[in-house]
This record gives sequence, structure tokens and C-alpha cells, in this order.
Amino acid sequence: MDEAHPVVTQGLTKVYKDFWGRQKVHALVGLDLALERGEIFGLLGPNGSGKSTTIKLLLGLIFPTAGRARVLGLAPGSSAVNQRLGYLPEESYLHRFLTGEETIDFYGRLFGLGPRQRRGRTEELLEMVGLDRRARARQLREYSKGMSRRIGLAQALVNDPELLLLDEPTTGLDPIGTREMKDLILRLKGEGKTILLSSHLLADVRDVCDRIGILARGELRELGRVRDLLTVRDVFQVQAKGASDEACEAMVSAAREAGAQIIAAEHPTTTLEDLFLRVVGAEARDSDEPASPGADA
Amino acid sequence: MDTPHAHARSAATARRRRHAGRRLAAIALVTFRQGLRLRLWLLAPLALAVAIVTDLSSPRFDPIFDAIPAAVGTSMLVMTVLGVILAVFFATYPTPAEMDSRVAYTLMTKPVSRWEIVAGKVLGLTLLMAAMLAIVGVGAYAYVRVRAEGIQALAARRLEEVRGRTERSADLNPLQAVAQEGPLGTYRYREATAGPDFEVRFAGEAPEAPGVVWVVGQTGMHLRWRLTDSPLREWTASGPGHIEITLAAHRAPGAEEEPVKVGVRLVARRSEAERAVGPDPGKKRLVQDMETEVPESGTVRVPVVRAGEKPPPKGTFGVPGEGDLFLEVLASHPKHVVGAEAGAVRIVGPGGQAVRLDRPPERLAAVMGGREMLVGCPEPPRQTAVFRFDDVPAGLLGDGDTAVEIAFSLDAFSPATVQPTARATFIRPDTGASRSFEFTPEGHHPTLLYLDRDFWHGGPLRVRLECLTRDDYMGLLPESIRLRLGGDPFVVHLAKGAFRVLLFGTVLTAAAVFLSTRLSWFVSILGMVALFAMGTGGRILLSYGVVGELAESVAERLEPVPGGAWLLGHLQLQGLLPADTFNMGQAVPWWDLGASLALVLAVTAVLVAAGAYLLRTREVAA
Repeated sequence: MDEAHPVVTQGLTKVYKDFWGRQKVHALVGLDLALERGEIFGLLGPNGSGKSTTIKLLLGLIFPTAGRARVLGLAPGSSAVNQRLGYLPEESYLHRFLTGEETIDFYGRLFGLGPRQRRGRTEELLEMVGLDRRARARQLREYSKGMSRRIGLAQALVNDPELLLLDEPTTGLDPIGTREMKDLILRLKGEGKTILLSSHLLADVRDVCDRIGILARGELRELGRVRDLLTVRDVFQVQAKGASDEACEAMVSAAREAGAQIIAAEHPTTTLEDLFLRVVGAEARDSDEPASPGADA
Repeated sequence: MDTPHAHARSAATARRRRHAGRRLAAIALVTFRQGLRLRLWLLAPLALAVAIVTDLSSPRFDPIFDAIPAAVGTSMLVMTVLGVILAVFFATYPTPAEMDSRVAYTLMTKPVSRWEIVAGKVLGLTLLMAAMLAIVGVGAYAYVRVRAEGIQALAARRLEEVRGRTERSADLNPLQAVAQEGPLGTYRYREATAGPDFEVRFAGEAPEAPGVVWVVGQTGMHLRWRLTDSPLREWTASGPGHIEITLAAHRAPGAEEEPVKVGVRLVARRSEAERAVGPDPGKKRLVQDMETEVPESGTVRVPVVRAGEKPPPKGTFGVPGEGDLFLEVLASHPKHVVGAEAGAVRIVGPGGQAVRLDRPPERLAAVMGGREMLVGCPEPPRQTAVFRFDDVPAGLLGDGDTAVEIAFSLDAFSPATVQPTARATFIRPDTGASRSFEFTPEGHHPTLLYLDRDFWHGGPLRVRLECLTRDDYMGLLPESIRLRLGGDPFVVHLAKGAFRVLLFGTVLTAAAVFLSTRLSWFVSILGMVALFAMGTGGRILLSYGVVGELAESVAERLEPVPGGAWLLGHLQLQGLLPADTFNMGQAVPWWDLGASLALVLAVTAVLVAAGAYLLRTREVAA
């Protein structure tokens, strides 16, 4: 189970109760899930659908009302599990009185890294998430939202985890940051890590996930590979480059003659994200100014 | 189970355990940093300023002897208040803050145990408190040193002023000590190692009688033999017998013609168990006594029969069938001294069978309210209390050339005189030299006697106390007898006091962290206030009613046990704080400090374990 399925849930249910012990919210109902090793799995759903609850259950931050979960073959929340996973919360919940370097050093200590290892890892991770030397020496209370997400990601990777749980990883990031985050996620997948991410930003999920599950009102409504779920079986699309207008006309005519109903025949548009990245470019990445202190508390 | 995977897992577990210290240190360091970055350290110089201003603005009765104890006391008080403020208001903060800011989400998804989180916070907060107390302590030390210089100069001036007006040079000893060595001297006490061993002397005319144990008439002193294990009870069961007591007697000048009379008592004491089930549970002792004249032969004969329903004939003792049995002899005349040696008591049975008790009698003084009584008499024979310090290393008496101080609690009950007088005689057994002087006991304050170092500076010492005024009597508290020795260097002394405050603060901190694992910051503060209130309420509860009686009973049983009194004191948190005697300069023994540390570590460990349990069962993200 551990080898093939890093995360397995069976009938996982969470009911939040009020002060008097009365059942208040059915946040998650009978979730059955098994993640494949090395895949990126996306949990999709609107706000309040149970995405964060699922992740918190898998981290042992809350306890299930019914059902069970196994993470890396063990009960969630145990030190043995935490040693091998990384977690990026929906916001970067970190000690705001520490500097960036102190933060990574602190979490490195929690993983039992020695001084030399911590120094090397801190350097490597801060470089990877794009925090320059000036930013590293500032307390987190002075960080902008984007910088907070980056330092949050760095702490999640401090132990080079084999399983990553990312809760809304692109929330609060600008398009450049979002692209970098997605690139990073794909790179981590390339290193063989298993990633479970939750998001309600559908484009982000589509770009990086191998499989998705869609939650609504705490129930899993859809589960499968992204390509399978998104493929429209009765529509066929050809994209060609370098064809003249005549050639395009000929292709449309041929399709019509073959009995197909033409829905659209036009030049494709690029995504707004691609346009933004092309216009703003790399210079925006380097001028990520901090917000006023305490602005993103 | 025995797979490569299982091996890898167990290796990972071992690695995690090995790094527990590193994680603990990490959390402690973060907690420490949090305090620093909240600028809590500013409280330390503020507290120091408060201590100095308070001390400077408080009037002192005697600037030479009161100023340093008061300054030390103020410093300790301010440190204690600082520790309480840190524990109540800041130690309750980090955990709820991490919950509210959701930092706990990140922290608890790392391979860190709940106990490591709780223990790390307690450690970090304790380190922060230690750093702040160190700031106050260093400042207080500097302040006290500056004050001490002025006080030493003042003492030197006053010494010159009063030297010619004082009769006894020993009375100037405390002043001289301050003038010569400064007011920062500290001390510790050594209790009489084998005493008080009450003995009787005859001021020069005592008969040489080795092995004879003497008691002086009308002082309450008595000779005692235990008869419980003798065949007396068994023999009197079958018929009447008698006890023969062979006594030595001495008549002082003025009473040579008076017949020597003694009081003889047979005391039966019922055991605890017998009293518990007996028909008359309150009755502890059955005493039969008679007065008889000691004949020329020196042997007193006392008839004995088995105790029955009827009282025994006059001049005869009835031997009860149960309980401990004692035979006691007292001298009746104040000028007479009576003694006995081993083998003085012979028990004779109804058939003429006889047994002699080989052991010498015990010699006991009259006891009143825990004090052993010295009865006053202007002329010998006189009752004398003798105690001794068998061997005092010279190095323990401290530096300098001021006199050695011996202290004891001696209460004078003076129906006869306005100024009861006692005499102390110091004897050096190794050289035979002696020195004596008279004094009036200090009553409820310890009486301090000073002995010049040119007479004695280490080695064995005997001290003899007598009450010289007629019809007066004085009560000596045996456990109060002590010799003052040199203490620690003042800086060590002050550091020990600060460490005691830190121990006190550590327990409070652990309690605060424990509460805050489940409660919000505000409610945790209320919880700490409630703890203080409960402490006060608990002490009131322990003083009254059934609970009070129970507590008293527990205390009575615990006090005689070695370390019991210490434990009782420390079970109240205040017992950890420096006592008033500390402010006066009495050194805290290292063993005491070590035992306090062990107790604090144990209590802290329990609170950490309880806090870790609460945290483990808490839904962090609920």
C-alpha cells in the first residue's frame, strides 16, 4: 500500500460539531481515494466543498469522525509520516518575527538537519523560490503576499519530501508567480514526488494535474484522469501552422463535405497568462517589492 | 515485519529520537527569539530601576545592618515579580498565538512530538527568564557593591565612636565585622553534632565517680531505666516482689545534714495501637510515684505487686499488665545530687529469683513546649546544659579575624528576677583551656555569643550553659544550637538567590504553558490568576476544619522523616523562593539547591507531559 499508494482514504468522514457537541457541518462524507505514486492529483471544488478538510485530515491536524486514512502507509499526523511529507498551507502560516533564513533554518532543525546541511539547504531553497539576499534577512512580517508564498513553499520542501500536500498553492500569486509555481510543481513531479493539491482555480489544475477529484458539499462527485474527463469525444480539432488561407478554406470544405458540422474555424487565441508573461517578462520577477509592514498579516 | 521496509522504518524512528534534542532546542530558540523581538527584555532594566528606586526611597532602621539585607530582599522581590509577570502574561502567549495565527498548522506537520513542542516552549521561556533575571541580578550586584563601600566606611566610623563606651568587646563584634570585612559577608550554620548532651557538673567539688550519671535535685532532671523487657511483669504475675535501686548521693555545703530523699516513679506508657483500641483512648501514661529516703547503704527498696482492680497498698507499686514500663528516680532537695551507674537496678521476684539491669540509666531533663529546661541556682550544685562541636575545620569558619558566633534559642522564664542571668563557658577539650562570660538571654530572638579567634579557631569545642539566678528557669531549644561558619562569596550567594527565583518561575512557566495548550491567551491568564487564588484558598482550607486536622496530621508524620520538613516547605511554591534568612546573608546549601532543582524538574516534567497529552488530543485546525 505504501509503495503504490502514498495516500489512501476509506469512507473518510468529518462532521464538525458545535460547543455543545451537536453536529453542525458535514464537511466530508465517505471519501474513498487512492493516490498513485509519482502523480499530481488535484482536489477541485468550490469554497466549503471539503478540500481543506481532506488535507487537514491527511495531516492529522483534525481527526476523522468516521472512516480511515493512511499516509505513506501510516496513520496521519505521526512523526514518521511528517518526516517524509511537505505541506504548504493555503496561506503561509509561519512565525512572522523570524527572518526568511531563520525560518528555513528553524524547520531544518525540526527535521534534524545538522548546521552545515541547514546552511546548504537554506541557500538552495531560497534560491529556488526566488528570494534574494535582502529579502532573506527581513522578518516575515515585512513580506508581500508573493514572498510569503515563496517562503512557505521553501519550508515545505526543506526535507526533500516524497509526498507534498499543497493547499491552494497559487492563491495570492501574480501570473508570473503562478507560472513559476506550476513549473516547480511539474519539476517536483519530475523528481518522482507525489503531489496532492487542492484548488478552485481550474486552469491551474488542468495545467499540472494528472488526475483530479471534484468535491461538492463534502462528497466526491467525479474522479479520473484530466485528459479523459476533459476530452469532448464528438468534437475533433486540428491545429496547423504555416497553412495559407486557401489551404484552411480547403480543410474546412473537406470536413463539411465529409458530413461534419463545423462549430468553429478561426485562428486560436493565446492565453491571457501567456500574453502577460510575454509583456511583463522577467523584469517583474526581480522587482517584487514588499508590501507595507503587516499588510498581509 | 522483518522486511527491508520495516528495517528502514525502524532506522528512521531511531534517527528521529536521536534528533529530539535538536528539535527541542529549535523550539526553545524560536520561543526565546519571540520574547526578544517582542522587546520583553526591556522589562529587565525597568525592574532593576524599580528595585533601586524602591531601595533608595525606603527608610532603614539601622543603615549598617539593615541596608544590605533590605537591598538584597528588594532585588529578590523585584526578580520574583518579574518572573511572575513573565509566567502569567508571556508564558501563556506563544501556544495560543500559534493556534490563532495558524502557525501550528505548519509546525505540527513537521516530525516533532507534542511533548517536544511543550518542553521546548518551557525551555525557551525559562531561558528568556534566566537572561532577564541575569540582567537584574548583575545590576543588583553592582548596586549592592556600591552601597556596601559606603556602609563599611560608616561602620568603621561608628566603631571608633562606641569602642570606649562598650563594656564587653564581644558586643562590638558584628560592627567590627562590617568595619573590617564589609557588609557582604555570608554565613551558614553548623548544628551541634552530638548535642545537646545534658550533663551535670559540680563547679569544682564534684565527686570523682566514673560511670555515675548524676541528677540535681528539684530541677526536673531524672534517671530512667526501661523495664519493659525485664522479667518484672512476668514475676509479679505470680506474686509480690521488689525492686532495689542503688544510688550515690552528694550533699552540697549547707545541706550536709539533710537526709537524702528521692522520688521514685513507675511509668506505664500505652502503645499507639493499644490506645487506639483501648476503652480509654486518651490516656497515654499511668504514673505511680512515692518519695523515699535513701538509707546509708544507698539502696532503696520498692515493693511491687501485680496491678489489679484494687489500688496497691501504700508504698507499693502495682505493675500493669501491658504497655511500656519505666522506672524513674529524681532527687528531692535542691542541694542534693543523686546518681546511679550501670547495674544499679535489681529486680527480685516472689520466689527470691533476681536479675540486675546491666545498662546505665538515661539522664533526662524536664521538657516544656519542646524546650529542655535549665533551672536557675546562684550556687552549685547547678544544672548545666553542655553541647559540643566535635571537630570544626578552621577553613569553614570563614576569613578575617572577627569572633566566631555561636547562636541558640534560649527563653528565660523569670518569675523571680527582672534580668535573668546565664553563664556560658567555652572549653577546649584538646588544650583544657576555658573561657566564660555571663549574659541575659535574648528571649524569642536567637542568643548570639561571640568567641575570640585567638581562643578557638577550629577543632573540638564544648559549651556549658548555666542559669545563675535563683528560682529562674530557662528553656533551651536543642535544635537551635548552631555555630556560624563562613558562607559563599557574595556574588555566588546572590546568584543562588536568583537561581531560586528562576526555579520558582520555571514551575509557574510550565503551569502557564500547560494551561495554554488548551485555553486561549486571555483564559490562560485568568487560569494563572485562579491558580494563585487556589493556592491562597488551599492554604486557608489546610488551616481549618477536618482538612486542617488531616493536613496537620500529615505534617506531623512527615516532619520527623529526613527531608520531610524540607518537602513540606517546598510543596508550597513559595518554599522555592529565597527565605528572609537569605537576605540576612545565610547561604543556601548546595544540596538544598540541588534538591529544589530536582523537585522543580520533576514537577515541570509532569506539567509538560500533561500539556503534551492535551495538545495531542486537540484538533489543531478545528
